[in-house]
Amino acid sequence: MDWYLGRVGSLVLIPAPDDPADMSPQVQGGVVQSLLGAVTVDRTATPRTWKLSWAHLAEDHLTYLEAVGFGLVAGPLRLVDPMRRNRLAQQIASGGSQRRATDGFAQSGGATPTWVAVPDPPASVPVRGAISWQRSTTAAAILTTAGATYRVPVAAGEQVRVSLWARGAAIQASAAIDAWNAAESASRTIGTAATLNTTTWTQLSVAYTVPSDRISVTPTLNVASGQAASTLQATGWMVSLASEPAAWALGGGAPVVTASELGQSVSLFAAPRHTWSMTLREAMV
Amino acid sequence: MQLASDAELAAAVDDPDRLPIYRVKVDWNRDGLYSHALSDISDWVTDVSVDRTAAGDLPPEVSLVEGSIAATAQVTLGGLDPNTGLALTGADGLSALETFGPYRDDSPLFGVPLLGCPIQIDLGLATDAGRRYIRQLTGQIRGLSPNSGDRTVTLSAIDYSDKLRASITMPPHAQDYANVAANNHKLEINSQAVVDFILRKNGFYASPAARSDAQVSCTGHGWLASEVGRSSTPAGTAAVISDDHWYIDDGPFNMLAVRGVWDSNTLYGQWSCREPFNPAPGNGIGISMWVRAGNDMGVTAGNRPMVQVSPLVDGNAWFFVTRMYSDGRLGGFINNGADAGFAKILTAPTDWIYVGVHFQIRADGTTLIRYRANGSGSSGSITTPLLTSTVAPVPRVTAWTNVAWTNLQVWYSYDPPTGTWPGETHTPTASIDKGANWLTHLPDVVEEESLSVLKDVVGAEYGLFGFDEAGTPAFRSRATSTDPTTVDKTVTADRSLIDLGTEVNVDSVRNVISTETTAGYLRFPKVVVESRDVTDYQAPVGISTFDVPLDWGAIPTVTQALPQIASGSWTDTLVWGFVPVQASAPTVEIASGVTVVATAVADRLVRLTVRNYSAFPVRFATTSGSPALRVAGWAMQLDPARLQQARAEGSIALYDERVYKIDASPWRQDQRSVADVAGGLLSTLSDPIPAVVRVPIVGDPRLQIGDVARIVDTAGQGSFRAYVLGVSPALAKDGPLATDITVRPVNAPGLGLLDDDELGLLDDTLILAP
Repeated sequence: MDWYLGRVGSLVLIPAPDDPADMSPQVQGGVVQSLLGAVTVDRTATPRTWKLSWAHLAEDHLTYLEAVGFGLVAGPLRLVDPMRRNRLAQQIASGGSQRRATDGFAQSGGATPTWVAVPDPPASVPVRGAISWQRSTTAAAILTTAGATYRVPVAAGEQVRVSLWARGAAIQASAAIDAWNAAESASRTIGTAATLNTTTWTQLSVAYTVPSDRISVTPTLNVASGQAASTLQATGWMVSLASEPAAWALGGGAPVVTASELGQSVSLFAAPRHTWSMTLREAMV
Repeated sequence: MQLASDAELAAAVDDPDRLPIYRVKVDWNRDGLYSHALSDISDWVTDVSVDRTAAGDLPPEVSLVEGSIAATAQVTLGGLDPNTGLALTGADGLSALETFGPYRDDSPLFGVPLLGCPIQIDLGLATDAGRRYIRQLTGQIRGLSPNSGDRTVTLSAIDYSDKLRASITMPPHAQDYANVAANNHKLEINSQAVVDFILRKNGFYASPAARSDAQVSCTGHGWLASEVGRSSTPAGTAAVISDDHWYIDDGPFNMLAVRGVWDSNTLYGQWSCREPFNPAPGNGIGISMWVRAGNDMGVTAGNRPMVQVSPLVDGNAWFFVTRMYSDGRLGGFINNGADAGFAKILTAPTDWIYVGVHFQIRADGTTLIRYRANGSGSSGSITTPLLTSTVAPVPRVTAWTNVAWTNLQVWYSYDPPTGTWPGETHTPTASIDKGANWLTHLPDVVEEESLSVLKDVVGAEYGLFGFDEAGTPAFRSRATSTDPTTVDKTVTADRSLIDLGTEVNVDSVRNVISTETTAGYLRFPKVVVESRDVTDYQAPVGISTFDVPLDWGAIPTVTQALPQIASGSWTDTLVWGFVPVQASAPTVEIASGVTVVATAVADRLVRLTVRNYSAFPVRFATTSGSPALRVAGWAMQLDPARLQQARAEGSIALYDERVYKIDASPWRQDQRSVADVAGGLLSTLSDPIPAVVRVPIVGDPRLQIGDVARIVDTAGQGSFRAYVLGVSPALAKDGPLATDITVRPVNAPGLGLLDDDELGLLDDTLILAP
């Protein structure tokens, strides 16, 4: 249950906060009510807030957290929240269902992906839809995430697992993991290929141990050259520690955050004499 | 309603869990491409609101969708992200304040003229079939208000009404009273023509624009006045259609067209070109128009003239002419007593097509005639006929109505168009209904602002005008903007109605509607220029010219050689002529050597050319000292105002007499055109009708002015249908997608319009309109 806070490539292990840590999501947008009481929720975003407190901090931790709190640490900061084992952004994890769009996805070798509503997602992935991706040739192709914002920070030595659910014509496909170094170069590890089915979802996965020169990873759906042209659907994406359960989780385990409300209280008459608190807010992406 | 047939969008609107989206773009480069690196300013937006309202002259209880639509928007940019507390940044990584601060010379937009830039605002929803952006405003930036305190920039925008600033002068055009009186010809002007004329002057074209080198351009969209060139005589001096108007509704580009009657070749419009045309080698002339023709017209065998251009003084002895043949051939000829030319077969069944003919007069004594029809061309060469008279000051153009037509153009150019001819294809940039107002004449409008004239024209018939969400100017007659039969949006208290307030007040009752109309006609022959003083137009020996402004509506004949009248024969009843006397001895007539020619040189301007080859300076007066020079032509004469009342006696018995006066307007001329408005007003105003102001509903960015909303408040005030007269959508990052609508109920409670629960059941509960 390690908590990390810092830039991708400069993650700092921070102490686990005291209980209870408040980690409540807030629906941003508005709620309106009709004359007879029906509610409509207009959701522009659902950012989360972490209100963390520590009764004891070692000096090096206190220095770092105060530096974060005073805005001295260069961002964007990522919080690795071990309470959410899927480190992907919710938009990616849900196969685009958060925004009902393909924001955050990229591909090569096929057509521009679209988001489609899916009435029958995998049983363990209760989301609205999936990314639909057409490959009109037999060329090798990948569907992955776009840009640095959607890369998942990892720490050296961690063993991580990429998994996703896919379906489509009976071709061979596999999960892959792209591991990025500080120079923005990636190496790809491809998992075992499986034969897809048009109606039944197949979970593809691959595990990877992070070497010391890799700072982030991205999940990838990989189709090797020679596979028949087809249209695939993919949802239920996940990047988690390999030691954790493989069942899909919601996502949001490594958000971009900003720090505010750095607090320090002093108790003169009762131990502990000092407590520290910090509020981290999820920056909208 | 926008995107009304989009089922996924409809489902997203009704979904209780919605993802509103927005997009705001500005065309900083002003090239229509919105391609500047900072064109998409959505990242800065924290809230956006649009207000679109139709404002008219009628009381709010009136059940009409009418008036002038004005749309404004306000967009807040930047400030602090409500979640992170950090400044929102745009595509340049700067905050809105840094980018739009007026003295920030480090801004990428520093020095760019920001005000007036085109802006597009979209709201929408994520649906199960992807995102749907729905345009709410296309307009211009009107103001920017940066604020250092909260680090926001407030941007205000307005629709394109600011673009309607061209000055408008109406051409002299009216019905000829002789035709009306003698033949009951219905040659009225439809208000569509006026709206179209004004919009074209401002660069909005429902149908193809006039060529830049056009000598004559007449759209035919409800009148036969020319937008380029001059109407040399009132339209249709020998009309034979008496059972209906001159115009048909189903012209190309959804505009009125001049009706075609194959067996009537005496109905025509006539105009003068802007400049003379010498049919000599090195010159060329083109004629084009949209016609309804084809290879299966099924008309009497033979051919009919379409357009004749007469460049010579003897206009009927040598002219260019286009003809349509019964078997579907388009002919182009030079006629000097007989046709010389060719005909091109039309290849498609009868439909609206563009046709054009170009005559290229060559140095080798031939004329090359090129034809354009059905999107292809052909050509043939003839020997150029010898000219039979001198070149006229301006050519006369005559267009018959044997085939239906619109968008007639005549132009001069030696070279024919290459490729697709101008006007052959067109994407409308305006949408203009057939008007509900018919005019006998065009009012006296000189150098007035476009928007002001438009409001007057549209207001006179209680129509609706404004720029739609996409920035297209649209004129809707009340027949199309006020139709309660199709419900566009149902707003129910159990789902989307947030609040509802109404008010019924006896002051809303009007049970006497009075109207005032004033018709006017051109009458001929009348005096259009008259010397008022004996020294007017006094001329020395030689040639003198005098440009004389004309009264409103006056149209002289194209060229008029005035007859010399003996002083003793000069009477008050003479409409043209002159008496020359010696300026230095005004009791002595000049017997010969003086001619006076009146030439129409522009609308409202005639040029008198005095050629004085006598031995004396000349004065135009009788020997007894009365001014004596007159030019004849058509003159406008207004009828007495016609007053009419519509009364609801049943309502008067209940509420006493309460009068609503439809004010006189220069654009209210035909009593029939306002009679049904009066009846409609009476039916809705004679009973108390609830006035509804703004109704907040769950946001629906599809709604538009003119939609019919069904308000269902079964457990509250009941249900009714209402016209939407105002739509105000808004979205903020920390607020819902909201819409306020301003509505007018379609009918008073129980007042029957149709056999419908809300519009009135045809049973014993029905209250008939008084």
